[in-house]
Amino acid sequence: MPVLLFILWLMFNERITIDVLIAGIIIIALVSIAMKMVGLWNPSKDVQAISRIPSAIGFVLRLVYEVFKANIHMIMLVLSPNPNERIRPKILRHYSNIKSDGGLVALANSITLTPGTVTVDVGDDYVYVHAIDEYAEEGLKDSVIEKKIERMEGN
Amino acid sequence: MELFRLIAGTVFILAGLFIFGIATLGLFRFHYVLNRVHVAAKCDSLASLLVCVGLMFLSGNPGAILKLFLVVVLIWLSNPVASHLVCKIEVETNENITDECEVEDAL
Repeated sequence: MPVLLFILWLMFNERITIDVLIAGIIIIALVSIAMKMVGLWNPSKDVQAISRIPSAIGFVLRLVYEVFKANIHMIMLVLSPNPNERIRPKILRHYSNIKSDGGLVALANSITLTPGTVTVDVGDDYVYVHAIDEYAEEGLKDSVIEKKIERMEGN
Repeated sequence: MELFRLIAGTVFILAGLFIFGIATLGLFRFHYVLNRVHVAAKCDSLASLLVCVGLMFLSGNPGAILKLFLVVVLIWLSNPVASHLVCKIEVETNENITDECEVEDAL
Protein backbone atom coordinates (compact mmCIF):
# COMPACT_ATOMS: atom_id res chain seq x y z
CA MET A 1 0.00 0.00 0.00
CA PRO A 2 2.75 2.57 0.78
CA VAL A 3 4.29 1.69 -2.58
CA LEU A 4 0.98 2.39 -4.28
CA LEU A 5 0.67 5.72 -2.48
CA PHE A 6 4.23 6.59 -3.48
CA ILE A 7 3.49 5.89 -7.16
CA LEU A 8 0.38 8.07 -6.89
CA TRP A 9 2.42 10.85 -5.29
CA LEU A 10 4.98 10.74 -8.11
CA MET A 11 2.16 10.76 -10.66
CA PHE A 12 0.74 13.94 -9.20
CA ASN A 13 4.15 15.60 -9.04
CA GLU A 14 5.24 14.72 -12.58
CA ARG A 15 8.95 15.04 -11.66
CA ILE A 16 11.46 13.25 -9.46
CA THR A 17 13.66 15.60 -7.46
CA ILE A 18 15.14 15.24 -3.99
CA ASP A 19 12.64 17.57 -2.27
CA VAL A 20 9.64 15.84 -3.84
CA LEU A 21 10.98 12.47 -2.70
CA ILE A 22 11.63 13.59 0.89
CA ALA A 23 8.24 15.30 1.21
CA GLY A 24 6.60 12.21 -0.30
CA ILE A 25 8.23 9.82 2.14
CA ILE A 26 7.19 11.92 5.14
CA ILE A 27 3.60 12.36 3.96
CA ILE A 28 3.21 8.68 3.01
CA ALA A 29 4.57 7.56 6.38
CA LEU A 30 1.98 9.72 8.13
CA VAL A 31 -0.83 8.54 5.85
CA SER A 32 0.16 4.87 6.30
CA ILE A 33 0.18 5.21 10.08
CA ALA A 34 -3.22 6.89 10.00
CA MET A 35 -4.61 4.18 7.69
CA LYS A 36 -3.28 1.43 9.95
CA MET A 37 -4.89 3.10 12.96
CA VAL A 38 -8.35 3.23 11.40
CA GLY A 39 -7.94 -0.26 9.93
CA LEU A 40 -7.82 0.61 6.22
CA TRP A 41 -4.42 -0.93 5.74
CA ASN A 42 -3.47 -4.40 6.89
CA PRO A 43 0.19 -5.22 6.04
CA SER A 44 -0.39 -8.99 6.04
CA LYS A 45 -2.88 -8.63 3.19
CA ASP A 46 -0.39 -6.79 0.98
CA VAL A 47 1.56 -9.98 0.21
CA GLN A 48 -1.69 -11.64 -0.83
CA ALA A 49 -2.53 -8.64 -3.00
CA ILE A 50 0.82 -8.84 -4.85
CA SER A 51 0.19 -12.47 -5.81
CA ARG A 52 -3.10 -11.37 -7.38
CA ILE A 53 -1.55 -8.82 -9.73
CA PRO A 54 -1.19 -11.13 -12.79
CA SER A 55 -4.81 -12.30 -12.66
CA ALA A 56 -5.93 -8.72 -11.99
CA ILE A 57 -4.24 -7.55 -15.19
CA GLY A 58 -5.97 -10.35 -17.09
CA PHE A 59 -9.28 -9.28 -15.58
CA VAL A 60 -8.85 -5.63 -16.58
CA LEU A 61 -7.87 -6.50 -20.17
CA ARG A 62 -10.84 -8.84 -20.48
CA LEU A 63 -13.12 -6.15 -19.03
CA VAL A 64 -11.98 -3.60 -21.63
CA TYR A 65 -12.58 -6.16 -24.39
CA GLU A 66 -16.07 -6.98 -23.07
CA VAL A 67 -16.92 -3.26 -22.83
CA PHE A 68 -15.90 -2.77 -26.48
CA LYS A 69 -17.90 -5.79 -27.69
CA ALA A 70 -21.01 -4.89 -25.74
CA ASN A 71 -20.84 -1.23 -26.70
CA ILE A 72 -20.87 -2.13 -30.38
CA HIS A 73 -24.00 -4.20 -29.76
CA MET A 74 -25.57 -1.29 -27.91
CA ILE A 75 -24.76 1.15 -30.73
CA MET A 76 -26.39 -1.21 -33.21
CA LEU A 77 -29.46 -1.34 -31.00
CA VAL A 78 -29.75 2.45 -30.75
CA LEU A 79 -29.25 2.95 -34.47
CA SER A 80 -31.75 0.26 -35.49
CA PRO A 81 -35.00 1.70 -36.87
CA ASN A 82 -37.25 0.57 -34.02
CA PRO A 83 -35.20 0.17 -30.84
CA ASN A 84 -38.19 -0.07 -28.54
CA GLU A 85 -39.47 -3.22 -30.24
CA ARG A 86 -36.13 -4.96 -30.44
CA ILE A 87 -35.35 -4.83 -26.76
CA ARG A 88 -36.80 -7.24 -24.20
CA PRO A 89 -36.01 -5.80 -20.78
CA LYS A 90 -35.94 -8.28 -17.96
CA ILE A 91 -34.98 -8.23 -14.31
CA LEU A 92 -33.30 -11.35 -13.03
CA ARG A 93 -31.41 -12.65 -10.07
CA HIS A 94 -27.99 -14.03 -10.87
CA TYR A 95 -26.41 -16.33 -8.32
CA SER A 96 -22.67 -16.32 -8.10
CA ASN A 97 -19.96 -18.38 -6.44
CA ILE A 98 -17.98 -15.32 -5.47
CA LYS A 99 -17.77 -15.05 -1.72
CA SER A 100 -15.70 -12.05 -0.74
CA ASP A 101 -17.20 -8.57 -0.57
CA GLY A 102 -14.50 -7.13 -2.79
CA GLY A 103 -15.14 -9.77 -5.44
CA LEU A 104 -18.89 -9.09 -5.42
CA VAL A 105 -18.31 -5.35 -5.77
CA ALA A 106 -15.95 -6.01 -8.69
CA LEU A 107 -18.56 -8.29 -10.29
CA ALA A 108 -21.38 -5.75 -9.78
CA ASN A 109 -19.28 -2.93 -11.19
CA SER A 110 -18.19 -4.90 -14.23
CA ILE A 111 -21.77 -6.01 -14.90
CA THR A 112 -22.82 -2.37 -14.93
CA LEU A 113 -19.86 -1.35 -17.06
CA THR A 114 -20.68 -3.82 -19.82
CA PRO A 115 -23.58 -2.26 -21.69
CA GLY A 116 -26.81 -4.22 -21.76
CA THR A 117 -26.83 -5.10 -18.09
CA VAL A 118 -27.18 -2.91 -15.00
CA THR A 119 -26.80 -4.12 -11.44
CA VAL A 120 -29.86 -3.13 -9.42
CA ASP A 121 -28.88 -4.64 -6.10
CA VAL A 122 -26.22 -6.85 -4.54
CA GLY A 123 -26.93 -9.47 -1.91
CA ASP A 124 -24.83 -12.01 -0.03
CA ASP A 125 -24.38 -14.43 -2.90
CA TYR A 126 -26.37 -12.94 -5.78
CA VAL A 127 -26.61 -9.85 -7.93
CA TYR A 128 -29.95 -8.48 -9.05
CA VAL A 129 -29.59 -7.46 -12.67
CA HIS A 130 -31.60 -5.59 -15.28
CA ALA A 131 -30.76 -6.92 -18.73
CA ILE A 132 -31.93 -5.12 -21.85
CA ASP A 133 -32.25 -8.05 -24.28
CA GLU A 134 -31.45 -11.73 -24.83
CA TYR A 135 -27.94 -10.99 -25.97
CA ALA A 136 -27.07 -9.23 -22.72
CA GLU A 137 -28.76 -11.99 -20.74
CA GLU A 138 -26.76 -14.73 -22.49
CA GLY A 139 -23.58 -12.81 -21.82
CA LEU A 140 -24.42 -12.72 -18.14
CA LYS A 141 -25.19 -16.43 -17.86
CA ASP A 142 -21.78 -17.62 -18.99
CA SER A 143 -19.63 -14.63 -18.21
CA VAL A 144 -15.88 -14.93 -18.52
CA ILE A 145 -15.54 -11.92 -16.23
CA GLU A 146 -17.02 -13.87 -13.35
CA LYS A 147 -14.52 -16.70 -13.80
CA LYS A 148 -11.69 -14.20 -13.89
CA ILE A 149 -12.84 -12.68 -10.60
CA GLU A 150 -13.15 -16.14 -9.05
CA ARG A 151 -9.61 -16.93 -10.09
CA MET A 152 -8.39 -13.60 -8.72
CA GLU A 153 -10.11 -14.39 -5.46
CA GLY A 154 -8.73 -17.92 -5.36
CA ASN A 155 -5.02 -17.27 -5.16
CA MET B 1 6.05 11.08 -35.32
CA GLU B 2 4.36 14.40 -34.60
CA LEU B 3 1.95 13.78 -37.45
CA PHE B 4 1.24 10.24 -36.28
CA ARG B 5 0.38 11.51 -32.81
CA LEU B 6 -1.92 14.15 -34.22
CA ILE B 7 -3.73 11.63 -36.42
CA ALA B 8 -4.05 8.96 -33.71
CA GLY B 9 -5.28 11.50 -31.17
CA THR B 10 -7.84 12.93 -33.57
CA VAL B 11 -9.13 9.48 -34.55
CA PHE B 12 -9.58 8.41 -30.92
CA ILE B 13 -11.28 11.66 -29.88
CA LEU B 14 -13.62 11.56 -32.88
CA ALA B 15 -14.56 7.94 -32.13
CA GLY B 16 -15.26 8.91 -28.52
CA LEU B 17 -17.40 11.85 -29.55
CA PHE B 18 -19.29 9.61 -32.00
CA ILE B 19 -20.15 7.22 -29.16
CA PHE B 20 -21.15 10.12 -26.91
CA GLY B 21 -23.46 11.26 -29.73
CA ILE B 22 -24.99 7.79 -30.04
CA ALA B 23 -25.55 7.69 -26.28
CA THR B 24 -27.41 11.00 -26.39
CA LEU B 25 -29.49 9.81 -29.34
CA GLY B 26 -30.30 6.63 -27.45
CA LEU B 27 -31.63 8.68 -24.55
CA PHE B 28 -34.37 10.00 -26.83
CA ARG B 29 -35.05 6.76 -28.65
CA PHE B 30 -35.81 4.60 -25.60
CA HIS B 31 -38.90 5.29 -23.55
CA TYR B 32 -38.32 3.96 -20.08
CA VAL B 33 -35.87 4.88 -17.32
CA LEU B 34 -34.25 1.48 -17.00
CA ASN B 35 -33.73 1.23 -20.76
CA ARG B 36 -32.39 4.76 -20.91
CA VAL B 37 -29.86 4.12 -18.16
CA HIS B 38 -28.21 1.51 -20.37
CA VAL B 39 -27.23 3.94 -23.08
CA ALA B 40 -26.96 7.09 -20.99
CA ALA B 41 -24.58 5.79 -18.40
CA LYS B 42 -22.64 3.12 -20.16
CA CYS B 43 -21.74 4.16 -23.64
CA ASP B 44 -20.05 6.94 -21.68
CA SER B 45 -17.64 4.46 -20.13
CA LEU B 46 -16.21 3.53 -23.51
CA ALA B 47 -16.48 7.05 -24.91
CA SER B 48 -14.60 8.64 -22.04
CA LEU B 49 -11.89 5.99 -22.39
CA LEU B 50 -11.49 6.77 -26.09
CA VAL B 51 -11.42 10.54 -25.53
CA CYS B 52 -8.82 10.18 -22.78
CA VAL B 53 -6.67 7.90 -24.94
CA GLY B 54 -6.90 10.50 -27.71
CA LEU B 55 -5.81 13.23 -25.30
CA MET B 56 -2.91 11.04 -24.15
CA PHE B 57 -1.69 10.83 -27.74
CA LEU B 58 -2.05 14.57 -28.23
CA SER B 59 -0.33 15.64 -25.02
CA GLY B 60 2.70 13.35 -25.20
CA ASN B 61 3.76 14.42 -21.71
CA PRO B 62 4.30 11.45 -19.35
CA GLY B 63 2.84 13.26 -16.31
CA ALA B 64 -0.30 14.22 -18.18
CA ILE B 65 -0.67 10.68 -19.55
CA LEU B 66 -0.57 9.19 -16.06
CA LYS B 67 -3.09 11.73 -14.78
CA LEU B 68 -5.45 11.01 -17.67
CA PHE B 69 -5.12 7.34 -16.81
CA LEU B 70 -6.24 8.17 -13.26
CA VAL B 71 -9.21 10.07 -14.71
CA VAL B 72 -10.26 6.95 -16.65
CA VAL B 73 -9.92 4.77 -13.55
CA LEU B 74 -12.04 7.19 -11.52
CA ILE B 75 -14.75 7.36 -14.18
CA TRP B 76 -14.85 3.56 -14.53
CA LEU B 77 -15.21 3.15 -10.78
CA SER B 78 -17.81 5.86 -10.17
CA ASN B 79 -19.97 5.54 -13.29
CA PRO B 80 -21.42 2.09 -12.40
CA VAL B 81 -22.21 3.24 -8.88
CA ALA B 82 -24.19 6.24 -10.13
CA SER B 83 -26.23 4.23 -12.64
CA HIS B 84 -26.79 1.49 -10.08
CA LEU B 85 -28.34 4.03 -7.69
CA VAL B 86 -30.70 5.35 -10.38
CA CYS B 87 -31.81 1.78 -11.14
CA LYS B 88 -32.24 0.81 -7.53
CA ILE B 89 -34.42 3.81 -6.76
CA GLU B 90 -36.56 3.10 -9.83
CA VAL B 91 -37.02 -0.62 -9.08
CA GLU B 92 -37.81 -0.01 -5.44
CA THR B 93 -40.27 2.85 -5.92
CA ASN B 94 -42.11 1.84 -9.10
CA GLU B 95 -45.16 -0.20 -8.15
CA ASN B 96 -46.09 -1.12 -11.71
CA ILE B 97 -42.68 -2.29 -12.79
CA THR B 98 -44.06 -5.47 -14.36
CA ASP B 99 -45.74 -3.31 -17.02
CA GLU B 100 -42.36 -2.20 -18.27
CA CYS B 101 -40.28 -5.33 -18.05
CA GLU B 102 -40.34 -8.98 -17.24
CA VAL B 103 -39.46 -9.62 -13.59
CA GLU B 104 -38.04 -13.07 -12.96
CA ASP B 105 -37.66 -12.92 -9.22
CA ALA B 106 -38.98 -10.14 -6.99
CA LEU B 107 -36.53 -8.16 -4.92
